Amino acid sequence: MSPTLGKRVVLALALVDLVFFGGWIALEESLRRGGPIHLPIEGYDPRDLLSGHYVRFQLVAVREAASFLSPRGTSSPQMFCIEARGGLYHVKGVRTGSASSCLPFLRATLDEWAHWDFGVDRFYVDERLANEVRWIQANPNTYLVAAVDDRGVVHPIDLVVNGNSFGSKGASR
Amino acid sequence: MASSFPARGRCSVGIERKLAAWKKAGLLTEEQALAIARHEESQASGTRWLVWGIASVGGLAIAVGIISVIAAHWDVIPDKVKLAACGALLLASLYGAWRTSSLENLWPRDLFLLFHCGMVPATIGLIAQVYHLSGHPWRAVALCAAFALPAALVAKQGLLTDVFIGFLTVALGLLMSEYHWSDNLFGSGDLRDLFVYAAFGWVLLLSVSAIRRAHPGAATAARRWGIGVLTFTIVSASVIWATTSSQWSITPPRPVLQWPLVIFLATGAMLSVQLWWIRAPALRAGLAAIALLTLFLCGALVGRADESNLLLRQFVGFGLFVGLCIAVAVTAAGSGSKLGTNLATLALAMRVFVFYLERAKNLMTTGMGLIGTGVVCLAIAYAWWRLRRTLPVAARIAGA
Repeated sequence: MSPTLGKRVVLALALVDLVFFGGWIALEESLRRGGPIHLPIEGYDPRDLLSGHYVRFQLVAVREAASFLSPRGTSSPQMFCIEARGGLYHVKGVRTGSASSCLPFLRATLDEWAHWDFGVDRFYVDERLANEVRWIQANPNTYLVAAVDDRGVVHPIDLVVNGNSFGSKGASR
Repeated sequence: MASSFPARGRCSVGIERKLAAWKKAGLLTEEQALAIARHEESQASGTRWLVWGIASVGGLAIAVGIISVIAAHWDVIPDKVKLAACGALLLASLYGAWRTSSLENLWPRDLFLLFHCGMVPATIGLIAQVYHLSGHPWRAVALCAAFALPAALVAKQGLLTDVFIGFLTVALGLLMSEYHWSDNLFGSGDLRDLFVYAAFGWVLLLSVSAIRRAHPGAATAARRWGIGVLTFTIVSASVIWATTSSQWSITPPRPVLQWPLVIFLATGAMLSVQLWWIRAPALRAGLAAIALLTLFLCGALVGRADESNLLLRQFVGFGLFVGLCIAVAVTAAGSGSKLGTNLATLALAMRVFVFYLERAKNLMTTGMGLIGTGVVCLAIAYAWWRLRRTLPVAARIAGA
């Protein structure tokens, strides 16, 4: 390959980097611009993931959604209406009408174990704090702060455990 | 005229041995050997290597130290600063590659491109961490492979092709694990993963002749990975091959998939046709044997769906595998590939061990069987060696 052609390929790669990663970051930022909601969580399991640490959890909404509509034999995806109770959002039923019939709502698909999956089950936590999460029990001051877009997809912003935020200090809010 | 090599300073022992052997074979004169030895000594002289070594250690220590300091304060660094710094490093690596593209020696450019290939997964990981994204990792690795491809095309060295193929191989494995293709591996012996990987290896080997003229470095890397992936699959298959359900299976077996086998056979056939045309005619018999044995082996694998004639199936499968390894070893030896012969021998050894374990089902009997087999093999090797030594003498006696 001639040096000129090589330079052009490198230049094109730089352009692709800029457009792709820049666009990706811009998209994630825009998806988190809506008003955040608090979703209760349960189940904690700090574990390593290569260079970082993350906490695995399950949204209480998974259990609540299954009580309204059994995942087995049901088509996917499904939309579940949610309402605020005591500052935390809980599932109140299955959305039967258009998107405006209940707001906000959460979009759920079926995972490989035939459970409802809202697409969020982990939060990256500083490794020095990850083990603290293991000893915390579910309570009203333990929840996921997230933004929900107009398709019902959940985008995590912060993890609050016993009133303490475990998100990065410079996390996008 | 001096008849000995320069006093052993920095001319390596290996070179001295080689020179002595070539002189003995009449390939070099005394003066030529001395000149080579003096040249090698002059190349090895000086303390340049020591300086480069110390500088490398120092540079690496600084880099690791900076990374450690950043990691220690990771939580207090604002997300936007992390993303901006990562993006800056990503683009800076390409700027460095762009600036060094005009140099006569392209190693600096290739190093910058290699750094870029490392920064891509780092950037993806950082974005996933900052925005708490989750999903199957094969997509991220496939993305890394896509970004590594242009660098592999531009680079002079084959190293960046290694990186690209490495990403591709890992992405393939993760994709198969997302769909739980390994669940059947030890249960019903569904070797779909291995067939997909073997087909991938065939494709890499097929691509060697296509890209050799345009990019010799990449062709070498493709050949390296093709042989490596095939060896991995063959050795794995020889260990995993079983005709009874394994007690390790805790999930219900999934339906056996046949299309990976079909793809494997199709790509194998394409490679066989290619080798048939480009390799020496003397190797064609070997290639035909390999193709036929592979076909029979795949037939045996498909045909063992039920458990009848277990003993016959085990012996047939073992015999076909051994025949295949021997055919590969002989063909590789005929084409001058020591690596091919060694790898075929390794696969054969693994299969023999697994066969004994299958039959004996305990280590003691396996061990006794292997010792017996080993003694027989050594006896054959010894007899062959003796025959080779005495045969020229017998021929001379017959001629006289």
